[in-house]
Amino acid sequence: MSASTSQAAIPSLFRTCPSTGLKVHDHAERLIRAHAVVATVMLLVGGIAALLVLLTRWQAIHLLDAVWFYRILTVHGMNMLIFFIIFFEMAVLLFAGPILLNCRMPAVKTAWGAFGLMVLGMLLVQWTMWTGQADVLFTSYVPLQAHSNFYLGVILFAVGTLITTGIFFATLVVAKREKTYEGSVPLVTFGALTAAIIAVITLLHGAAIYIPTWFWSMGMMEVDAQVYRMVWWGLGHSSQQINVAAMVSIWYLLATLTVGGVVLNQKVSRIAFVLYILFISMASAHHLLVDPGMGSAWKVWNTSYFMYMAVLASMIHGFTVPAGVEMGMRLRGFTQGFFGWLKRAPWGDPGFSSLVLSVVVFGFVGGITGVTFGTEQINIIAHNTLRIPGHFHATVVSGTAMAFMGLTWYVIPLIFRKRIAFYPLVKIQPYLFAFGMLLFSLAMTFAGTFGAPRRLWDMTYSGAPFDVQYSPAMDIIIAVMAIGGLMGIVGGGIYILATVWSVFFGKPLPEGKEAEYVGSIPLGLIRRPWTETPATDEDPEAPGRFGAVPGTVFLVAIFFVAFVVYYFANWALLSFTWQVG
Amino acid sequence: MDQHDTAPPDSEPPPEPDEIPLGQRLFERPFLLLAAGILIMAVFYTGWGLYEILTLPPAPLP
Repeated sequence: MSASTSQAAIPSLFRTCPSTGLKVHDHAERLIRAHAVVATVMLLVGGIAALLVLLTRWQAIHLLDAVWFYRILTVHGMNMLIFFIIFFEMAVLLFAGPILLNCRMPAVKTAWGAFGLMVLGMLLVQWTMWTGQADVLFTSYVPLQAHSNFYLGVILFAVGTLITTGIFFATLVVAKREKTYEGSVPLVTFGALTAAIIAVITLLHGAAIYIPTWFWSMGMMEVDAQVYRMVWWGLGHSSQQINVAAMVSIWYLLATLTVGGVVLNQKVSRIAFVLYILFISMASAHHLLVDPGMGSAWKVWNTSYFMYMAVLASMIHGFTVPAGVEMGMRLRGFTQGFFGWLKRAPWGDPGFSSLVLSVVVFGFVGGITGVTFGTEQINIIAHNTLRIPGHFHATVVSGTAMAFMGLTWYVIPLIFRKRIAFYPLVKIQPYLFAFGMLLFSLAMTFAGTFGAPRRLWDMTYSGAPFDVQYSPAMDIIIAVMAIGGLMGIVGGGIYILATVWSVFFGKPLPEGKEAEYVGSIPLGLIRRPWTETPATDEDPEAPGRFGAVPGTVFLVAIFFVAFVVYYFANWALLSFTWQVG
Repeated sequence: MDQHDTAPPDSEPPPEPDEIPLGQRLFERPFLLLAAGILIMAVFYTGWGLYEILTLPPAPLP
C-alpha cells in the first residue's frame, strides 16, 4: 500500500503504527475507541442480565419472578444481539475502512453524529426496557406492544448504524480515488464490505417493519402479525449474519497478526464472501419454518438458500482460515508431521486461542446445529425448544463474541496504546469463556432434545391444568447448563474487567517498545510474524500424500463425520416422533 | 498486513486494466455487490414472502 500525496499534505492527522506500519487517521481512531467503549458497556449490561436469566432458568434457584424474568430477558437480548454486537461491528468497519486502506476518514462530523444517534437510540430503548414499558423480548412480536419510544429508539439506532455503514462505503470511494492502496482492497476489508452490505439489507428490513410498528404503537395503523414476523426476521436473523461476515474477517486478521497466517487463495476466499452477500440473509426463513402462513416452496427455497450456498461459504472459510494458519506455521519451519504446527502454536497468546476456539465451536456446534435445524422437517422437533438458543449461543457468543474478544487483546495495545491489565488472567480468559459456553450450548441442545422449552419462565409449568413429565436426566442437564453458563459469565467478566481497566487505568505502551513488555501484550505484537520472511529448508508447499495442509484436511474430515452423524441422528429422532406407516 | 499472496513481484509491470479477470472486476465494484445482495433478498425472501401472505385465502368460519 502506498500513501497518497493528499495524506502528506495533512500529516498531523495521521500517526504511523510502529507495529503494523499502517497510517492511522486520528478521527478514525477516536471513533473506534468510542464505539469499542460503548460496546463493552453494553456487554456488561447484557452480561449482568445473562446471569439473572440463567439463575432463573436454573429451576433449583429460579431467582426472578415472571415479570422481571421477561423484562431482563428482553434486556439481555437487546444488549447482546443488537447493541454490543453492532457497536463493535461499527468499530470493525472503521478499522477495515480508513485504517487498513491507509486513507483519511471522510465525513468526520457526520460519523460522530451517527454515533450520537446510535447512543441516543440505545438509551431510549434502555429506558423503556428498564422501566417495564417494553417487556416484549428481543423479537417484540406483534401484537405484543411496547411503548412507542422503544420502537423509536430502535429506529434512531438503526439510522445511526446505516449512516456509519454509508461512511464505510464512502471510505472505499475516497481510498480508491486518492489511490491509497494498490490492486484490490485487502481481504479483511473485503470481508468488512460483506458485513456492511448485509448490514444495509438488515437495516432496510428493520426500517420496513419498525416504522409501521412505531405508528401501530401510537394507534395510527394496523400491522399484520405474520407480515411482522416475516419482515422482522429479515432484520433479526440478518443482523446475526453481519456478525458472521465480521467474525470471519477477524479470523483472517487474527491469523495474520498471531502467527503470520497466509491466505491460501484470494479468489476462493472472496468468492465465499460474495456467496454470503448473495445468499446468507435468506436464512432468516429458518425462523418461519413452522409458520402456517408460509408455503413449503418459499420455506425450502429460502432455507436451502440456493443449495446451501451460504453454508458452502462458511465451510470454505472454515477450511481456509485454519489452513492459512497451518501454512503460515509451516512456512516458518514448523513442518513436523500432521500437527507439529499446532503443537508449536502460541497457545498463550489470547488472540490466537480466541481465534482457534471461535473457529472450532462456531463450526462444530453452531454450524452443524444451524444447518440441521434449517431443514424443514427436522425443524418441527427443534422449534421453540432450548436447542435453538443452544445453537445461537454457539454461533453468536462462542463464535462472534469470542472472535471480537480475541481482537480486543490486539486493539488495546494497537489503538488505545495501553498495556493489557491482568494479563495472566487474560491468557486463560478465552479457555474459560469458550469451554463454559461450549458446555452451556451442548447442555441446552440436550435439554431441548428432551423437550425443554426456550424463553419460558417456569419450565415445570407449575399451576398449569396439565402435567409435563421430562426425562429424569433433565435436572442434571439443566445444572450442567447453569455451570457452563456461570463459567462463561466469569470469562466474560474477566474480559470486561481487563478491557475497562486497561483502557481507563492501564499503563501506556510506548511506541516501538513492544519487545520490552513481554507478559503484558500478546506475543504476536512482540514477534510480529507478519513482518518476517518465512524461511525453511523444506518446501512447505510441496503437497504430500494429504496435500500441503494435511493437519487441516484431517480436522476437516472429523468435522464432516460429526456433521453427518448429527444430521442423520436428527432424522432418526424425527422418525421416533413422527412415525410413518 | 497486506495479504495479497497473488500480487505480482515488484519487478513486473502492473497488469493492464483489461488484463484483470471479469470476476475480479465485478468484485471490486462494491455498489454492484450491494445492489445484487439487496435484489436477491428483496425478490426471493421479502417479495415472495409478502405475496404468499397477502394472497393467503381467509380461513372459512366454523
